[in-house]
Amino acid sequence: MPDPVEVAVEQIYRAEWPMLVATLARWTGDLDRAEDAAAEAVAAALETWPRDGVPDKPGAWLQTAARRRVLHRIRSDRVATAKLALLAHDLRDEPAADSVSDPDDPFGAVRWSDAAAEDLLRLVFTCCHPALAPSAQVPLALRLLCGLTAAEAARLLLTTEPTVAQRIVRAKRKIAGAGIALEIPSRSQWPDRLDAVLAVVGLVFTEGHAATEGAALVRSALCDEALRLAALLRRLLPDEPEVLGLSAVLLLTDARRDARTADGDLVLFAAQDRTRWRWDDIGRGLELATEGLRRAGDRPGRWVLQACIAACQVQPAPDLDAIIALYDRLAQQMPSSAVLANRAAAVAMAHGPAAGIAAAESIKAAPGDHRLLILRAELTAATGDPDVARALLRQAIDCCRNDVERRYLERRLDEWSVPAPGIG
Amino acid sequence: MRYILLSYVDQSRVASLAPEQAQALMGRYISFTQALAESGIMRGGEHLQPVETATTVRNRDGESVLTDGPFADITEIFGGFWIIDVPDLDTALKHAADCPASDVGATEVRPLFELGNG
Repeated sequence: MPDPVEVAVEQIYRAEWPMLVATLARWTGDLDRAEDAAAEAVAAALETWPRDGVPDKPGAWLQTAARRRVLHRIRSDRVATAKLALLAHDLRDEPAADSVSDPDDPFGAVRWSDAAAEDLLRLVFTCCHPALAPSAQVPLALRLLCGLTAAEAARLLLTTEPTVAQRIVRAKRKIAGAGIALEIPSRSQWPDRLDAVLAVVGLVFTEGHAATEGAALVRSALCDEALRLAALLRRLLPDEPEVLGLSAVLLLTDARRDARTADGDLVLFAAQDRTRWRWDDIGRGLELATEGLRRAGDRPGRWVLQACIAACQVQPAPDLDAIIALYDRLAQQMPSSAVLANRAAAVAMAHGPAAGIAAAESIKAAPGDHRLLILRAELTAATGDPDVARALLRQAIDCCRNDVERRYLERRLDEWSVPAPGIG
Repeated sequence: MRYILLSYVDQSRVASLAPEQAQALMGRYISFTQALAESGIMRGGEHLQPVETATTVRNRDGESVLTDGPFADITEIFGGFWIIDVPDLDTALKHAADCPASDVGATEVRPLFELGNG
Protein backbone atom coordinates (compact mmCIF):
# COMPACT_ATOMS: atom_id res chain seq x y z
CA MET A 1 0.00 0.00 0.00
CA PRO A 2 1.34 3.44 -0.84
CA ASP A 3 2.35 5.64 2.06
CA PRO A 4 -0.41 8.30 2.60
CA VAL A 5 2.16 11.08 2.98
CA GLU A 6 3.73 10.08 -0.33
CA VAL A 7 0.30 10.13 -1.97
CA ALA A 8 -0.36 13.63 -0.60
CA VAL A 9 3.04 14.80 -1.75
CA GLU A 10 2.42 13.33 -5.19
CA GLN A 11 -0.96 15.11 -5.45
CA ILE A 12 0.50 18.43 -4.39
CA TYR A 13 3.38 18.02 -6.77
CA ARG A 14 1.06 17.21 -9.70
CA ALA A 15 -1.10 20.26 -8.94
CA GLU A 16 1.86 22.62 -8.57
CA TRP A 17 4.03 21.25 -11.39
CA PRO A 18 2.61 23.03 -14.48
CA MET A 19 2.74 26.43 -12.79
CA LEU A 20 6.24 25.70 -11.53
CA VAL A 21 7.49 24.97 -15.05
CA ALA A 22 5.53 27.88 -16.53
CA THR A 23 6.89 30.59 -14.25
CA LEU A 24 10.41 29.19 -14.53
CA ALA A 25 10.05 29.14 -18.33
CA ARG A 26 9.07 32.80 -18.41
CA TRP A 27 11.73 33.68 -15.88
CA THR A 28 14.58 31.95 -17.68
CA GLY A 29 13.16 32.12 -21.22
CA ASP A 30 14.36 28.55 -21.62
CA LEU A 31 12.15 25.45 -21.41
CA ASP A 32 15.09 23.14 -20.87
CA ARG A 33 16.41 25.04 -17.88
CA ALA A 34 12.88 25.41 -16.54
CA GLU A 35 12.16 21.69 -16.76
CA ASP A 36 15.49 20.70 -15.20
CA ALA A 37 15.14 23.09 -12.30
CA ALA A 38 11.52 22.08 -11.69
CA ALA A 39 12.48 18.40 -11.70
CA GLU A 40 15.31 19.02 -9.22
CA ALA A 41 13.02 20.99 -6.93
CA VAL A 42 10.45 18.20 -7.01
CA ALA A 43 13.12 15.61 -6.27
CA ALA A 44 14.15 17.68 -3.25
CA ALA A 45 10.51 17.93 -2.14
CA LEU A 46 9.93 14.19 -2.48
CA GLU A 47 12.97 13.67 -0.29
CA THR A 48 12.29 16.24 2.45
CA TRP A 49 8.48 16.56 2.66
CA PRO A 50 7.74 13.00 3.79
CA ARG A 51 10.42 13.47 6.47
CA ASP A 52 9.79 17.09 7.61
CA GLY A 53 6.13 17.50 6.63
CA VAL A 54 4.56 19.38 3.74
CA PRO A 55 5.29 23.14 3.94
CA ASP A 56 2.38 25.58 4.36
CA LYS A 57 2.87 26.98 0.89
CA PRO A 58 4.16 24.05 -1.16
CA GLY A 59 4.01 26.03 -4.42
CA ALA A 60 6.18 28.80 -3.00
CA TRP A 61 8.57 26.23 -1.54
CA LEU A 62 9.00 24.57 -4.95
CA GLN A 63 9.42 27.92 -6.72
CA THR A 64 12.12 29.04 -4.33
CA ALA A 65 13.92 25.69 -4.48
CA ALA A 66 13.79 25.66 -8.28
CA ARG A 67 14.98 29.25 -8.62
CA ARG A 68 17.92 28.58 -6.35
CA ARG A 69 18.86 25.71 -8.60
CA VAL A 70 18.59 27.86 -11.73
CA LEU A 71 20.90 30.43 -10.17
CA HIS A 72 23.29 27.72 -9.06
CA ARG A 73 23.40 26.28 -12.57
CA ILE A 74 23.95 29.67 -14.15
CA ARG A 75 26.72 30.52 -11.70
CA SER A 76 28.67 27.54 -12.92
CA ASP A 77 28.10 28.70 -16.49
CA ARG A 78 30.53 31.59 -17.02
CA VAL A 79 29.01 32.82 -20.29
CA ALA A 80 25.77 33.76 -18.59
CA THR A 81 27.00 36.11 -15.88
CA ALA A 82 25.04 39.04 -17.29
CA LYS A 83 21.89 36.99 -17.22
CA LEU A 84 22.60 36.04 -13.61
CA ALA A 85 22.54 39.67 -12.48
CA LEU A 86 19.21 40.11 -14.19
CA LEU A 87 17.66 37.02 -12.64
CA ALA A 88 19.02 37.79 -9.19
CA HIS A 89 17.30 41.13 -9.45
CA ASP A 90 14.03 39.45 -10.42
CA LEU A 91 14.31 37.06 -7.52
CA ARG A 92 14.27 39.91 -5.03
CA ASP A 93 11.32 41.66 -6.68
CA GLU A 94 9.02 38.81 -7.32
CA PRO A 95 6.57 37.74 -4.63
CA ALA A 96 6.64 34.00 -4.13
CA ALA A 97 3.75 32.04 -5.58
CA ASP A 98 1.05 31.28 -3.06
CA SER A 99 -1.08 28.25 -3.57
CA VAL A 100 -2.82 25.47 -1.76
CA SER A 101 -4.25 22.40 -3.36
CA ASP A 102 -7.16 20.12 -2.76
CA PRO A 103 -6.59 16.52 -3.81
CA ASP A 104 -10.23 16.10 -4.95
CA ASP A 105 -9.92 18.61 -7.77
CA PRO A 106 -6.48 18.79 -9.37
CA PHE A 107 -6.52 22.57 -9.69
CA GLY A 108 -9.75 23.58 -7.94
CA ALA A 109 -8.22 25.17 -4.88
CA VAL A 110 -4.92 26.29 -6.37
CA ARG A 111 -4.89 30.08 -6.39
CA TRP A 112 -3.12 31.65 -9.32
CA SER A 113 -2.50 35.32 -9.81
CA ASP A 114 -3.41 36.71 -13.25
CA ALA A 115 0.26 37.01 -14.09
CA ALA A 116 0.89 33.41 -13.09
CA ALA A 117 -2.10 32.19 -15.10
CA GLU A 118 -0.70 34.04 -18.11
CA ASP A 119 2.62 32.26 -17.65
CA LEU A 120 0.85 28.93 -17.66
CA LEU A 121 -1.20 29.82 -20.72
CA ARG A 122 2.03 30.75 -22.53
CA LEU A 123 3.42 27.33 -21.73
CA VAL A 124 0.23 25.58 -22.88
CA PHE A 125 0.26 27.35 -26.24
CA THR A 126 3.97 26.69 -26.70
CA CYS A 127 3.72 22.95 -25.96
CA CYS A 128 0.81 22.66 -28.40
CA HIS A 129 2.25 24.87 -31.14
CA PRO A 130 1.02 23.64 -34.54
CA ALA A 131 4.58 23.75 -35.88
CA LEU A 132 5.29 20.75 -33.61
CA ALA A 133 4.21 17.29 -34.76
CA PRO A 134 1.52 15.58 -32.66
CA SER A 135 4.14 12.94 -31.77
CA ALA A 136 6.10 15.79 -30.15
CA GLN A 137 3.16 17.78 -28.72
CA VAL A 138 1.72 14.85 -26.77
CA PRO A 139 4.87 13.82 -24.86
CA LEU A 140 5.73 17.47 -24.30
CA ALA A 141 2.29 18.15 -22.81
CA LEU A 142 2.46 15.01 -20.66
CA ARG A 143 5.89 16.05 -19.38
CA LEU A 144 5.59 19.82 -18.97
CA LEU A 145 1.86 20.25 -18.28
CA CYS A 146 0.99 16.98 -16.52
CA GLY A 147 4.30 16.42 -14.78
CA LEU A 148 4.82 12.84 -15.91
CA THR A 149 8.40 11.65 -16.21
CA ALA A 150 9.59 10.42 -19.60
CA ALA A 151 9.34 6.86 -18.25
CA GLU A 152 5.72 7.36 -17.12
CA ALA A 153 4.75 9.00 -20.41
CA ALA A 154 6.41 6.14 -22.30
CA ARG A 155 4.37 3.59 -20.36
CA LEU A 156 1.13 5.40 -21.22
CA LEU A 157 2.09 5.86 -24.88
CA LEU A 158 3.26 2.23 -25.18
CA THR A 159 6.71 3.22 -26.28
CA THR A 160 10.15 3.26 -24.73
CA GLU A 161 11.56 5.85 -22.37
CA PRO A 162 14.44 6.82 -24.71
CA THR A 163 11.92 7.41 -27.54
CA VAL A 164 9.81 9.73 -25.42
CA ALA A 165 12.87 11.47 -23.97
CA GLN A 166 14.21 11.96 -27.49
CA ARG A 167 10.92 13.44 -28.72
CA ILE A 168 10.82 15.85 -25.79
CA VAL A 169 14.42 16.92 -26.40
CA ARG A 170 13.78 17.44 -30.12
CA ALA A 171 10.60 19.39 -29.44
CA LYS A 172 12.36 21.69 -26.99
CA ARG A 173 15.21 22.11 -29.47
CA LYS A 174 12.75 23.10 -32.19
CA ILE A 175 10.98 25.56 -29.92
CA ALA A 176 14.28 27.25 -29.05
CA GLY A 177 15.89 26.96 -32.49
CA ALA A 178 12.95 27.85 -34.69
CA GLY A 179 11.96 30.83 -32.57
CA ILE A 180 8.60 29.55 -31.36
CA ALA A 181 7.77 32.38 -28.98
CA LEU A 182 6.84 31.57 -25.39
CA GLU A 183 3.82 33.80 -25.85
CA ILE A 184 0.05 33.84 -25.85
CA PRO A 185 -0.93 34.13 -29.52
CA SER A 186 -2.40 37.33 -30.88
CA ARG A 187 -6.16 37.63 -31.27
CA SER A 188 -5.97 36.98 -35.03
CA GLN A 189 -4.17 33.67 -34.51
CA TRP A 190 -6.16 32.74 -31.45
CA PRO A 191 -8.78 30.43 -33.03
CA ASP A 192 -6.23 28.30 -34.91
CA ARG A 193 -3.86 28.12 -32.01
CA LEU A 194 -6.61 27.22 -29.55
CA ASP A 195 -7.77 24.49 -31.95
CA ALA A 196 -4.26 23.05 -31.82
CA VAL A 197 -4.30 23.03 -28.00
CA LEU A 198 -7.69 21.33 -27.85
CA ALA A 199 -6.58 18.81 -30.47
CA VAL A 200 -3.62 17.76 -28.32
CA VAL A 201 -5.89 17.16 -25.31
CA GLY A 202 -8.35 15.31 -27.54
CA LEU A 203 -5.54 13.16 -28.90
CA VAL A 204 -4.33 12.20 -25.43
CA PHE A 205 -7.88 11.26 -24.48
CA THR A 206 -8.68 9.31 -27.66
CA GLU A 207 -5.52 7.28 -27.34
CA GLY A 208 -6.56 6.46 -23.78
CA HIS A 209 -10.24 5.84 -24.48
CA ALA A 210 -9.90 3.80 -27.67
CA ALA A 211 -6.34 2.60 -27.45
CA THR A 212 -5.11 1.81 -30.95
CA GLU A 213 -2.70 -0.81 -29.68
CA GLY A 214 -2.15 -3.14 -26.80
CA ALA A 215 -3.94 -5.47 -24.47
CA ALA A 216 -6.35 -3.04 -22.76
CA LEU A 217 -9.27 -1.35 -24.47
CA VAL A 218 -9.12 1.69 -22.22
CA ARG A 219 -5.83 3.06 -20.93
CA SER A 220 -7.48 4.87 -18.06
CA ALA A 221 -4.34 6.61 -16.83
CA LEU A 222 -4.09 8.39 -20.16
CA CYS A 223 -7.78 9.41 -19.98
CA ASP A 224 -7.05 10.80 -16.51
CA GLU A 225 -4.20 12.92 -17.90
CA ALA A 226 -6.49 14.27 -20.63
CA LEU A 227 -9.15 15.13 -18.04
CA ARG A 228 -6.46 16.86 -15.99
CA LEU A 229 -5.39 18.90 -19.03
CA ALA A 230 -9.02 19.81 -19.75
CA ALA A 231 -9.48 20.93 -16.13
CA LEU A 232 -6.35 23.04 -16.49
CA LEU A 233 -7.66 24.71 -19.65
CA ARG A 234 -11.02 25.34 -17.99
CA ARG A 235 -9.21 27.12 -15.17
CA LEU A 236 -7.22 29.24 -17.60
CA LEU A 237 -9.92 29.91 -20.20
CA PRO A 238 -13.26 29.60 -18.40
CA ASP A 239 -15.11 31.65 -21.04
CA GLU A 240 -14.05 29.74 -24.15
CA PRO A 241 -17.01 27.71 -25.42
CA GLU A 242 -14.73 25.17 -27.12
CA VAL A 243 -12.84 24.53 -23.89
CA LEU A 244 -16.17 23.81 -22.17
CA GLY A 245 -17.19 21.63 -25.12
CA LEU A 246 -13.98 19.62 -24.97
CA SER A 247 -14.35 19.10 -21.23
CA ALA A 248 -17.95 17.98 -21.70
CA VAL A 249 -17.02 15.47 -24.43
CA LEU A 250 -14.26 14.02 -22.27
CA LEU A 251 -16.44 13.73 -19.17
CA LEU A 252 -19.47 12.30 -20.99
CA THR A 253 -17.30 9.74 -22.76
CA ASP A 254 -15.14 8.86 -19.81
CA ALA A 255 -18.21 8.36 -17.60
CA ARG A 256 -18.92 5.22 -19.65
CA ARG A 257 -15.39 3.87 -19.14
CA ASP A 258 -16.32 1.01 -16.76
CA ALA A 259 -19.32 -0.10 -18.82
CA ARG A 260 -17.36 -0.48 -22.06
CA THR A 261 -15.99 -3.84 -21.06
CA ALA A 262 -17.47 -6.78 -19.16
CA ASP A 263 -15.13 -9.57 -18.05
CA GLY A 264 -12.47 -8.04 -20.28
CA ASP A 265 -14.68 -8.09 -23.39
CA LEU A 266 -15.94 -5.13 -25.39
CA VAL A 267 -19.55 -4.03 -24.83
CA LEU A 268 -21.12 -1.85 -27.53
CA PHE A 269 -22.79 1.44 -26.60
CA ALA A 270 -26.35 0.15 -27.01
CA ALA A 271 -25.69 -2.91 -24.86
CA GLN A 272 -23.91 -1.11 -22.03
CA ASP A 273 -25.16 -1.47 -18.48
CA ARG A 274 -26.16 2.12 -17.72
CA THR A 275 -25.97 1.56 -13.99
CA ARG A 276 -22.21 1.26 -14.51
CA TRP A 277 -22.01 4.74 -16.02
CA ARG A 278 -20.71 7.39 -13.65
CA TRP A 279 -23.77 9.61 -13.46
CA ASP A 280 -22.15 12.42 -11.45
CA ASP A 281 -19.65 12.90 -14.29
CA ILE A 282 -22.47 12.76 -16.82
CA GLY A 283 -24.31 15.45 -14.88
CA ARG A 284 -21.20 17.62 -14.85
CA GLY A 285 -20.63 16.93 -18.56
CA LEU A 286 -24.19 17.94 -19.42
CA GLU A 287 -23.75 21.18 -17.45
CA LEU A 288 -20.55 21.99 -19.31
CA ALA A 289 -22.10 21.12 -22.69
CA THR A 290 -25.05 23.42 -21.97
CA GLU A 291 -22.78 26.23 -20.83
CA GLY A 292 -20.53 25.79 -23.88
CA LEU A 293 -23.50 25.89 -26.22
CA ARG A 294 -24.89 28.97 -24.48
CA ARG A 295 -21.59 30.80 -24.82
CA ALA A 296 -21.10 29.70 -28.44
CA GLY A 297 -24.44 31.22 -29.42
CA ASP A 298 -25.40 30.40 -32.99
CA ARG A 299 -21.85 29.46 -33.97
CA PRO A 300 -20.94 26.33 -32.06
CA GLY A 301 -17.48 25.00 -32.87
CA ARG A 302 -16.48 21.38 -33.34
CA TRP A 303 -16.07 20.57 -29.64
CA VAL A 304 -19.37 22.13 -28.62
CA LEU A 305 -21.08 20.18 -31.40
CA GLN A 306 -19.44 16.94 -30.29
CA ALA A 307 -20.49 17.74 -26.71
CA CYS A 308 -24.09 18.15 -27.90
CA ILE A 309 -23.91 14.78 -29.68
CA ALA A 310 -22.49 13.09 -26.59
CA ALA A 311 -25.21 14.76 -24.49
CA CYS A 312 -27.90 13.40 -26.82
CA GLN A 313 -26.39 9.91 -26.75
CA VAL A 314 -26.59 9.52 -22.97
CA GLN A 315 -30.33 10.30 -22.93
CA PRO A 316 -32.63 7.31 -22.19
CA ALA A 317 -34.11 7.50 -25.71
CA PRO A 318 -31.62 9.36 -27.91
CA ASP A 319 -33.14 11.68 -30.53
CA LEU A 320 -31.47 10.18 -33.61
CA ASP A 321 -32.58 12.89 -36.02
CA ALA A 322 -31.13 15.56 -33.75
CA ILE A 323 -27.90 13.55 -33.60
CA ILE A 324 -27.76 13.29 -37.41
CA ALA A 325 -28.39 17.05 -37.75
CA LEU A 326 -25.55 17.71 -35.29
CA TYR A 327 -23.25 15.39 -37.25
CA ASP A 328 -24.18 17.31 -40.43
CA ARG A 329 -23.06 20.56 -38.82
CA LEU A 330 -19.95 18.92 -37.45
CA ALA A 331 -19.08 17.46 -40.87
CA GLN A 332 -19.22 20.95 -42.39
CA GLN A 333 -16.40 22.01 -40.08
CA MET A 334 -14.62 18.71 -39.85
CA PRO A 335 -15.30 16.26 -42.69
CA SER A 336 -13.05 13.55 -41.28
CA SER A 337 -13.74 9.88 -42.01
CA ALA A 338 -14.41 9.27 -38.30
CA VAL A 339 -17.12 11.97 -38.17
CA LEU A 340 -18.72 10.75 -41.40
CA ALA A 341 -18.63 7.12 -40.23
CA ASN A 342 -20.32 8.03 -36.93
CA ARG A 343 -22.90 10.00 -38.88
CA ALA A 344 -23.55 6.98 -41.12
CA ALA A 345 -23.97 4.78 -38.02
CA ALA A 346 -26.58 7.22 -36.68
CA VAL A 347 -28.35 7.24 -40.06
CA ALA A 348 -28.42 3.43 -39.99
CA MET A 349 -29.94 3.41 -36.50
CA ALA A 350 -32.57 5.96 -37.49
CA HIS A 351 -33.45 4.84 -41.01
CA GLY A 352 -32.17 1.29 -41.37
CA PRO A 353 -28.97 -0.35 -42.63
CA ALA A 354 -29.58 0.43 -46.32
CA ALA A 355 -29.69 4.16 -45.58
CA GLY A 356 -26.56 3.69 -43.47
CA ILE A 357 -24.74 1.98 -46.34
CA ALA A 358 -25.69 4.83 -48.67
CA ALA A 359 -24.36 7.35 -46.14
CA ALA A 360 -21.12 5.40 -45.70
CA GLU A 361 -20.53 4.83 -49.39
CA SER A 362 -18.66 7.99 -50.28
CA ILE A 363 -16.45 8.07 -47.17
CA LYS A 364 -12.80 7.95 -48.05
CA ALA A 365 -10.92 6.32 -45.24
CA ALA A 366 -7.23 5.92 -44.72
CA PRO A 367 -6.10 2.39 -45.59
CA GLY A 368 -6.27 0.28 -42.46
CA ASP A 369 -9.07 2.34 -40.84
CA HIS A 370 -10.70 -0.64 -39.16
CA ARG A 371 -13.59 1.29 -37.64
CA LEU A 372 -15.06 2.19 -41.03
CA LEU A 373 -14.57 -1.43 -42.17
CA ILE A 374 -16.50 -2.64 -39.11
CA LEU A 375 -19.35 -0.25 -39.85
CA ARG A 376 -19.52 -1.37 -43.49
CA ALA A 377 -19.35 -5.04 -42.42
CA GLU A 378 -22.17 -4.64 -39.89
CA LEU A 379 -24.41 -2.76 -42.30
CA THR A 380 -23.73 -5.19 -45.13
CA ALA A 381 -24.53 -8.12 -42.84
CA ALA A 382 -27.78 -6.45 -41.80
CA THR A 383 -28.86 -6.00 -45.44
CA GLY A 384 -28.21 -9.66 -46.16
CA ASP A 385 -24.90 -10.10 -47.93
CA PRO A 386 -23.09 -12.34 -45.44
CA ASP A 387 -20.13 -13.25 -47.65
CA VAL A 388 -19.20 -9.63 -48.39
CA ALA A 389 -19.82 -8.76 -44.73
CA ARG A 390 -17.52 -11.52 -43.52
CA ALA A 391 -14.80 -10.44 -45.96
CA LEU A 392 -15.04 -6.84 -44.69
CA LEU A 393 -14.91 -8.00 -41.09
CA ARG A 394 -11.83 -10.12 -41.79
CA GLN A 395 -10.13 -7.05 -43.25
CA ALA A 396 -11.09 -5.10 -40.12
CA ILE A 397 -9.63 -7.81 -37.89
CA ASP A 398 -6.36 -7.69 -39.83
CA CYS A 399 -6.15 -3.91 -39.30
CA CYS A 400 -7.12 -3.92 -35.62
CA ARG A 401 -4.19 -3.74 -33.22
CA ASN A 402 -6.17 -3.61 -29.97
CA ASP A 403 -6.56 -7.04 -28.37
CA VAL A 404 -9.97 -6.47 -26.72
CA GLU A 405 -11.47 -5.02 -29.87
CA ARG A 406 -10.03 -7.80 -32.03
CA ARG A 407 -11.42 -10.48 -29.71
CA TYR A 408 -14.85 -8.86 -30.03
CA LEU A 409 -14.59 -8.81 -33.83
CA GLU A 410 -13.53 -12.45 -33.98
CA ARG A 411 -16.50 -13.37 -31.80
CA ARG A 412 -18.72 -11.33 -34.11
CA LEU A 413 -17.37 -13.16 -37.13
CA ASP A 414 -18.52 -16.42 -35.53
CA GLU A 415 -22.03 -15.18 -34.74
CA TRP A 416 -23.48 -12.66 -37.17
CA SER A 417 -26.86 -13.39 -35.68
CA VAL A 418 -27.37 -10.07 -33.88
CA PRO A 419 -27.78 -7.28 -36.46
CA ALA A 420 -26.99 -4.40 -34.14
CA PRO A 421 -24.66 -1.81 -35.66
CA GLY A 422 -23.30 0.55 -33.08
CA ILE A 423 -20.34 2.23 -31.61
CA GLY A 424 -18.53 1.00 -28.53
CA MET B 1 15.25 36.33 -36.00
CA ARG B 2 16.09 35.66 -39.61
CA TYR B 3 14.15 33.00 -41.46
CA ILE B 4 14.45 31.71 -44.99
CA LEU B 5 11.26 30.95 -46.91
CA LEU B 6 11.96 28.25 -49.49
CA SER B 7 9.55 28.04 -52.40
CA TYR B 8 8.74 24.54 -53.63
CA VAL B 9 6.40 24.33 -56.59
CA ASP B 10 4.60 21.35 -58.02
CA GLN B 11 5.82 21.44 -61.61
CA SER B 12 2.95 19.43 -63.05
CA ARG B 13 0.43 21.79 -61.48
CA VAL B 14 2.16 24.83 -62.89
CA ALA B 15 2.51 23.19 -66.31
CA SER B 16 -1.24 22.57 -66.38
CA LEU B 17 -2.04 26.26 -65.84
CA ALA B 18 -3.46 28.31 -68.73
CA PRO B 19 -1.07 31.05 -69.93
CA GLU B 20 -3.03 33.84 -68.22
CA GLN B 21 -3.14 31.80 -64.97
CA ALA B 22 0.62 31.26 -65.17
CA GLN B 23 1.09 34.97 -65.67
CA ALA B 24 -1.18 35.75 -62.73
CA LEU B 25 0.91 33.40 -60.58
CA MET B 26 4.09 35.17 -61.62
CA GLY B 27 2.39 38.48 -60.77
CA ARG B 28 1.61 37.19 -57.29
CA TYR B 29 5.25 36.23 -56.75
CA ILE B 30 6.28 39.76 -57.71
CA SER B 31 3.74 41.47 -55.48
CA PHE B 32 4.55 39.12 -52.56
CA THR B 33 8.23 40.05 -52.92
CA GLN B 34 7.40 43.75 -53.17
CA ALA B 35 5.23 43.59 -50.05
CA LEU B 36 8.07 41.97 -48.08
CA ALA B 37 10.54 44.59 -49.35
CA GLU B 38 8.21 47.50 -48.55
CA SER B 39 7.54 46.30 -45.01
CA GLY B 40 11.28 46.46 -44.37
CA ILE B 41 11.69 42.86 -43.22
CA MET B 42 13.26 41.40 -46.38
CA ARG B 43 17.00 40.69 -46.13
CA GLY B 44 17.49 38.96 -49.45
CA GLY B 45 16.02 36.57 -51.93
CA GLU B 46 16.51 35.08 -55.37
CA HIS B 47 14.52 33.43 -58.10
CA LEU B 48 16.16 30.34 -59.60
CA GLN B 49 16.21 29.39 -63.29
CA PRO B 50 14.10 26.36 -64.26
CA VAL B 51 15.08 22.96 -62.84
CA GLU B 52 16.14 21.74 -66.30
CA THR B 53 19.22 23.97 -65.93
CA ALA B 54 20.34 22.20 -62.74
CA THR B 55 23.45 20.03 -62.47
CA THR B 56 24.15 18.04 -59.32
CA VAL B 57 27.67 17.20 -58.15
CA ARG B 58 28.64 14.34 -55.85
CA ASN B 59 32.22 13.57 -54.93
CA ARG B 60 32.61 9.78 -54.68
CA ASP B 61 35.82 7.79 -54.39
CA GLY B 62 37.89 10.83 -55.25
CA GLU B 63 35.86 11.55 -58.34
CA SER B 64 33.26 14.22 -59.06
CA VAL B 65 30.14 12.55 -60.41
CA LEU B 66 27.75 14.87 -62.24
CA THR B 67 24.03 14.33 -62.64
CA ASP B 68 21.93 16.29 -65.08
CA GLY B 69 19.06 17.58 -62.96
CA PRO B 70 18.17 18.36 -59.35
CA PHE B 71 19.51 16.38 -56.40
CA ALA B 72 16.33 14.38 -55.91
CA ASP B 73 13.66 13.28 -58.33
CA ILE B 74 10.66 14.86 -56.65
CA THR B 75 7.58 16.61 -58.00
CA GLU B 76 7.92 19.72 -55.87
CA ILE B 77 10.86 21.68 -57.17
CA PHE B 78 12.87 24.28 -55.28
CA GLY B 79 12.48 27.51 -57.22
CA GLY B 80 13.48 30.45 -55.09
CA PHE B 81 13.81 31.92 -51.62
CA TRP B 82 13.37 35.00 -49.47
CA ILE B 83 15.19 35.86 -46.26
CA ILE B 84 13.13 37.81 -43.76
CA ASP B 85 13.87 39.25 -40.33
CA VAL B 86 10.88 38.95 -37.98
CA PRO B 87 10.38 38.52 -34.21
CA ASP B 88 9.29 34.89 -34.10
CA LEU B 89 8.19 31.77 -35.95
CA ASP B 90 4.50 32.69 -35.89
CA THR B 91 5.22 35.88 -37.83
CA ALA B 92 7.37 33.99 -40.33
CA LEU B 93 4.63 31.38 -40.78
CA LYS B 94 2.09 34.11 -41.46
CA HIS B 95 4.28 35.42 -44.30
CA ALA B 96 4.75 31.88 -45.59
CA ALA B 97 0.98 31.46 -45.77
CA ASP B 98 0.86 34.56 -48.01
CA CYS B 99 3.55 33.12 -50.29
CA PRO B 100 2.07 31.93 -53.63
CA ALA B 101 4.21 28.79 -53.42
CA SER B 102 2.01 27.65 -50.51
CA ASP B 103 -0.91 27.51 -52.99
CA VAL B 104 0.84 25.64 -55.81
CA GLY B 105 3.28 23.62 -53.75
CA ALA B 106 4.78 24.34 -50.38
CA THR B 107 6.82 26.91 -48.52
CA GLU B 108 9.42 25.62 -46.10
CA VAL B 109 10.33 27.95 -43.26
CA ARG B 110 13.75 27.57 -41.66
CA PRO B 111 15.47 29.80 -39.13
CA LEU B 112 19.01 30.90 -39.99
CA PHE B 113 21.91 30.62 -37.60
CA GLU B 114 22.62 33.99 -36.02
CA LEU B 115 26.12 34.98 -34.97
CA GLY B 116 26.32 34.38 -31.21
CA ASN B 117 23.60 31.78 -30.83
CA GLY B 118 25.06 29.15 -33.15
